[in-house]
Amino acid sequence: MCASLVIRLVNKMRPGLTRVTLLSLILTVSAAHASEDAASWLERMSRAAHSLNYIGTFVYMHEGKLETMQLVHAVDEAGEHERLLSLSGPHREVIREHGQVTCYLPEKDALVAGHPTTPPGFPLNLPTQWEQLRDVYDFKLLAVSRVAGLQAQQIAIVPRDTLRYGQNYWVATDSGLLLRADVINEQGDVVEQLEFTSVSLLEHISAQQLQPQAGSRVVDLSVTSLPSEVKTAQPLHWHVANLPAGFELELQRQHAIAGDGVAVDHLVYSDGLASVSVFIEPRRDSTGENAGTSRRGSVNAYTRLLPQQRVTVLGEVPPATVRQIGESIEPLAP
Amino acid sequence: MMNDKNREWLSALVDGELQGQELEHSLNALRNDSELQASWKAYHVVRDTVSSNLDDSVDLQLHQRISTALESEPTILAPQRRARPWLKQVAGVAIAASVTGVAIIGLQGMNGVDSTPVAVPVAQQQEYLRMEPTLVAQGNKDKEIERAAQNSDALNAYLVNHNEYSANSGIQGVLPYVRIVGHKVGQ
Repeated sequence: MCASLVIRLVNKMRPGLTRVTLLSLILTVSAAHASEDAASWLERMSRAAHSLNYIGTFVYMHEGKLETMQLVHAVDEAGEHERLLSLSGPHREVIREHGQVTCYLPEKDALVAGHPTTPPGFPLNLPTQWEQLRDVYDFKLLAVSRVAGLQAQQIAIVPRDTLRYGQNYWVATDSGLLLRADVINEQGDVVEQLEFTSVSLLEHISAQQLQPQAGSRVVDLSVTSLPSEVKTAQPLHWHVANLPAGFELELQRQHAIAGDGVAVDHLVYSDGLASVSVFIEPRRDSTGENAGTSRRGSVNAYTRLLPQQRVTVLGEVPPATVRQIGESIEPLAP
Repeated sequence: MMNDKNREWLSALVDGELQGQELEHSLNALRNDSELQASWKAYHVVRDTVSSNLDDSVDLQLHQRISTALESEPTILAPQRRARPWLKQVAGVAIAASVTGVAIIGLQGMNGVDSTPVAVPVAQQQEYLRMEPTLVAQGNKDKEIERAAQNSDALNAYLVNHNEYSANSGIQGVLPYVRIVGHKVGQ
C-alpha cells in the first residue's frame, strides 16, 4: 500500500479526531502487512535453507572471537545432507544427514552421534504459530542491502520483552538463502553474528564434498534413543512452575546417555522462534558436577543440582530466561 | 582447615551460589572454624577491592597496594600458574587463589573454561567479575580444565539434542551447530 497516497486521501477527509483515528488505523493495518511480508520472507528463507544445493563460506563471531567456516548443503532422493566445517583453527566438523548428527571434535577425537529424527517444523511453518509469535515479537522489513556480493533483504525480529533475544536476518532476494544473522541481547548488543562472504548455488554436489576429513577417531558420547522414547503422549513427571511468558511445552522425550544407558528426560519449550531445552538426569557420584551458568554464543545454559537429579536448561535465550525455568522446575506430584 | 575443597565451597558461598543442604553445611562449618572465618573475611576484602567497593573502615593501604599491583599488570595474557609473592604477603594463599581466579575469569568471560588468550584490560576484568562471580582456585587449575572438558562434552551432547528439536533449526538448518564447531576447549 502506498503510504503517501493514503495520507493524501485521509487529508481530504474531515479534519480533527476522525482523521487521526483513521490514519492510525491505516498505519496499524500497513504495519500488520509489513509483518506478514516479513513472515513470508522467513518462510521462504526456511524453505531455501532446506531445499537448495549450495556451498558457502562464512565468518562466525562470538564472545569477541572470529572463526571462518564452510557450509555444504545438498538434497537428493535420500533427503538432506549437510556438512559444517571449521576453516580456521583446529579442524572441527559436523555432518548431518537423515537426522543423524556426527560431530568431529579433534581435541578429544570425539564424536557425538544423533539418532534418526524427524524434528518438528521442518521447514518452518509460520502461519500456524503466527498469532502466538506476534504476541512476543515485532516483525519488520528493513532495507535491501548487499551481503556476500548479493542483494539481501533485511528482516528485524524485535522481542517485546527481555525474556528473548532479537534477530536480524539478511535474506538473498533471488534465492531466499540466509546470508547474515545477528542475535541481539536485552541491551541491544550483538551477541552472535554469522555472515557469509560467498555462496554458490550448484546443480549438483559430489559425495566427496560431503565426506568428513579423514583421521578422526570415534567416541560415541550420547544421544541414542530409548525404545521407550515418548513424545508428548505420555507426560514426563516434571513441571515448570514459573514458565516465562509466551513459552509453551512443545515436546517431551527420553533418550539414553551412551555408555551407561541412563535415561535422560528432555522437555522442549518454545515461543515459536526461540527454543529452550530442559534435561533432567540422575546425579552421579563424581565430583565433576557443577551448578551454575555457561554460554556458547547466543546459547545460554543453567545447571542446577537437585537432591537426586541434575537439571540443565539451555537455549538461544538470555541467561535470565534459562535461570527462571531452571529455578522453577519441580517434580509433579504422583 | 584450609584445603582445596574448603576453598572451593567458600568461594561458592561468597558468591551466593550454594543452596539447600550445601548452604546449611557450609554455614555450620564456617560457624565453628576461626580459620575459615578469617578466609571468609579475606575473600570479601579481595572481592570488594577489585570492584572498588571498600568502605572507610577497611585499611586503605591494603586496598591501594592491591589496586596498584593490579594496575601494574594492565593486561594478563595467560592464566598465571605461580602464586604472586606480593599477594602472599598481603593475605595468604587463599587470597592469591581467588585473585588469580579474577584473572582467569577475565580471560574466560562468561564462556566457561575456554582459555584462548584474549587481552582484557583490568577494568573490564572487574566488570566480568561482577557479572559472573565464579572464583577458580589456582591450585585446581588443571582439574578445572579437565572438568571443563567434561562439562564441554556434556554441553555438546545437550546441544545436539537441543538443536535437533529446536525451532531455530527449522529456520537455519545445520547452522545452529556453529556453537559446537566454534567452541574449542583448552586451546
